[in-house]
Amino acid sequence: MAFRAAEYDRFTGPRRKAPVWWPLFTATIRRGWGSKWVRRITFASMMMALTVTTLFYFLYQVIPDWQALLKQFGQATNPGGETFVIDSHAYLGLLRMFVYPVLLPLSLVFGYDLVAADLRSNAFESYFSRSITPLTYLVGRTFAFVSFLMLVTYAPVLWIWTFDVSIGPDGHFSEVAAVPLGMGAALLVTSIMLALMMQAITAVTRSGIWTNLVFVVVFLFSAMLGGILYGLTQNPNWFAVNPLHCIHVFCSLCMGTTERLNRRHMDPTADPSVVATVMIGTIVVCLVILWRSLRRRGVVG
Amino acid sequence: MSTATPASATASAVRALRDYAIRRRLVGLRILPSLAVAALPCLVAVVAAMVGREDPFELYGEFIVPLTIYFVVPFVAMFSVLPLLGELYDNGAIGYLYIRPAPRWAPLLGIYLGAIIAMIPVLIFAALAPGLILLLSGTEDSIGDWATRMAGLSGVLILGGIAYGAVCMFFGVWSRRAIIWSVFMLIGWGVIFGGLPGSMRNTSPHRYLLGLAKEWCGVSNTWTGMFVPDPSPPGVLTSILVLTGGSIVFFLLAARAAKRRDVL
Amino acid sequence: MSDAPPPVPRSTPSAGSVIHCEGLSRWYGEVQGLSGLDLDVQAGVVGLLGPNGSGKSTFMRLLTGLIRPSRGSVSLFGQAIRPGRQEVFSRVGHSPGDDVHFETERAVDFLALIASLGGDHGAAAVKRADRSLDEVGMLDARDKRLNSMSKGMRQRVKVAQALLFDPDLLLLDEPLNGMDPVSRRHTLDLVRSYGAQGRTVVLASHVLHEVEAVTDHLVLLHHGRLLAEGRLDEIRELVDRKPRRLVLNGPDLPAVAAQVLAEGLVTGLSFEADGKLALETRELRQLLDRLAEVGAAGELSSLDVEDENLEAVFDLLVGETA
Repeated sequence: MAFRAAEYDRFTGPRRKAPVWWPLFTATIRRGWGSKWVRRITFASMMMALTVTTLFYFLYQVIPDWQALLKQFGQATNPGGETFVIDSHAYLGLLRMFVYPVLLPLSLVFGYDLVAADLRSNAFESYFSRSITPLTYLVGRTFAFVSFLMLVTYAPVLWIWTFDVSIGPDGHFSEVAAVPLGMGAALLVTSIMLALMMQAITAVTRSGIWTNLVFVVVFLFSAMLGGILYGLTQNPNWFAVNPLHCIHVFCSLCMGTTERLNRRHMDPTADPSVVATVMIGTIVVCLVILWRSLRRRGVVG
Repeated sequence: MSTATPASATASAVRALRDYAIRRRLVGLRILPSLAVAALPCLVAVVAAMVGREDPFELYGEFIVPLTIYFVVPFVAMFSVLPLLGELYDNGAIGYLYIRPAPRWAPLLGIYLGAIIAMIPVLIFAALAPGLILLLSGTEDSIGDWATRMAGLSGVLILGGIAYGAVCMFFGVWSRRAIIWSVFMLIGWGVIFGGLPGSMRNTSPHRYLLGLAKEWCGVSNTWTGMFVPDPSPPGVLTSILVLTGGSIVFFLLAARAAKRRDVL
Repeated sequence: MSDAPPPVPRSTPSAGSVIHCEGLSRWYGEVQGLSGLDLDVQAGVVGLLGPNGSGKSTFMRLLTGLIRPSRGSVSLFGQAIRPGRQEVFSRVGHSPGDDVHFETERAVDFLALIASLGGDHGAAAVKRADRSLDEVGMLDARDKRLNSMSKGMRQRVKVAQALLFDPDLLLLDEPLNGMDPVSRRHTLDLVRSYGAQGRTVVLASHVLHEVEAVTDHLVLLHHGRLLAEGRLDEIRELVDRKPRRLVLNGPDLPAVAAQVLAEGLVTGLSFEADGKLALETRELRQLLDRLAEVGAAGELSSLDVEDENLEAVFDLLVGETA
């Protein structure tokens, strides 16, 4: 029997046309969808969209002079206050309805064990001994994670917007024409940040329990900390230590409503440029953490 | 075959699991997560020192005390207890502890005691470190006043750790979603109901810690701008009774849950 | 089997019963883990057999009180297993099927921790841990951390943990998984010696020849149900609807075939490609007696009773149930 050198031979046979990261993408989606809570949150998101469209239908079709009624009511209760209109700022409020109760918990339940489970089960040895490289792995997982988050949040708000402009009064389209782009950009960047953040936390902790704890600490503690630091220094940029605040300001930036932000809040908000820097910085730091964690495992690939 | 009596097995089980919990939570790098949470008030102190606040002693009472009570104690308790129980239940290793002559509450008591012992240095650090930073930044108050306030806060935090640790023990044994329940109970419930006027405020665990803080640290239990002031905070005796009573009740609930939860 | 003793009513534990189950059932939501198991196990080695998902581990967990039955009851040494009643576990050693440990502990610390739960402390617990590690041949690895051990080594530590208190009842769930051949033999020898001392060992496995090597007393589970229970040959005779198969070789096989056919001892007969004679019979004992006479006359050079081994019996039972 002839001996062969015990070295790795790269596969040279015919390959499928699908990109290398595609199996990871589908596997990630399947794995996420397997969670009961992911399905519940997705369902809740769809129900919220349905409720809002029903509300729009009633406003436009059943009580067409609702704005006049609202104005009268507003002047009676809050003289001199702003009148509610469905514009970019109203859509910012709608976006927040999908970011805080949907996007945040969904990113946790979808991704809390994503990289940690692979680290614990030595799945990387199996991945990286094939044509999957650490970069492919990262792309596949992140793309799937972000796509799912976008699907569960952007699709419903886009549906609401489509419904709104299709049954709204003449000229309404011009008021909200930029909304889909703004919401898309806001949700995309927020989803990327959350997806990378979750994966970086899970890569460091290597445990679902610890990932949950760290996630809770990051979001709850930082909210408190931001308020205290602002109280001490009177510098609103300290609010940027709070990821929730950053997401809020960034969404407002994307929707082009930053000038109206501080009018609605007791406390001022951090400067949008500081917020953008913090968010980009978070993304970069998470990428570095993930890359270092994966590269250590990817000596074969 | 073992000839150990149930009593000696129980005592031995408590000691063994106490030592195990201390090894797992206090020794080496494992203390870092708790320490990181406990160090966050230091950041506040450093920023305050940098911006040159005029009265560090008041600032300690105004910001550091509520911050540690509202956030540091719950998180340190969660970090100390939940991963220990979660790992044991998730991988089924808790079964080794339950298939022994010692009653099921014995290893749980050991874990609880170990977690408390592991919490104590962290909580003392959370009380002392920001105080020392502010003290060094220049103060007109005497060292004695500072020592009293920091020692008082250490005591409050330790009592809080004991009570919150018991709550975490219960949720850790009772549910796979222990983190969600603990955050809801220790932070959500405590903050929301502790901050609302009305009789529901009595169910907030924070209220009793703030009652102790008022007596032991000489600070107000109010924090304008964030929480509604409590016009009649409970006294020391009431607070200690409620906190220790609550600890016992939650530990008993944990022991009961241990009998009912399947180990898969 | 005409001379077999009358079946024992399942609801009554017989004298000396170590494990007694009555209608023991467990569901996981809509999935049936174990269904209506009636069982009475006496001292000795018992093989608990079944394919993956047959309910072996569920049965073990029910025996140790780690899960509660949905219906029915279980008792060990006459004492009902209920949550909070732990005394009986001073007589029980259990090695779980999953690869479960206190991962970051050293082997000796892990075992000393478990020993402490039985009443030892300090040096006494370490001494007991060392003795148990020695028993499974792992004393050299006492200071090694469990998460740095191979699966086979961890399996042996698990078995050592079960042996800590010289249990009267040893429950081993797939103990040989991941072990090398030497360790397997060592572990099987341990099981045999425990059985020989009059203790009870329940050895769960889906690898049939492992069980066959240490006992012929079997409990066969399939889809959460008791498929058969008893001695291997008794179980075999339970399946009397299917004839046994013998393969003969010799100088004058056609004459042998004619003889056994004439005496009505076979239900089927065929010549194989290599010239051997294959017989099927429901009267194995009589046929063997008859063939012994024929063989003594020099007309047979070899005789193999096929499907004698456990695997074939199991296949047969599972096939019939299906």
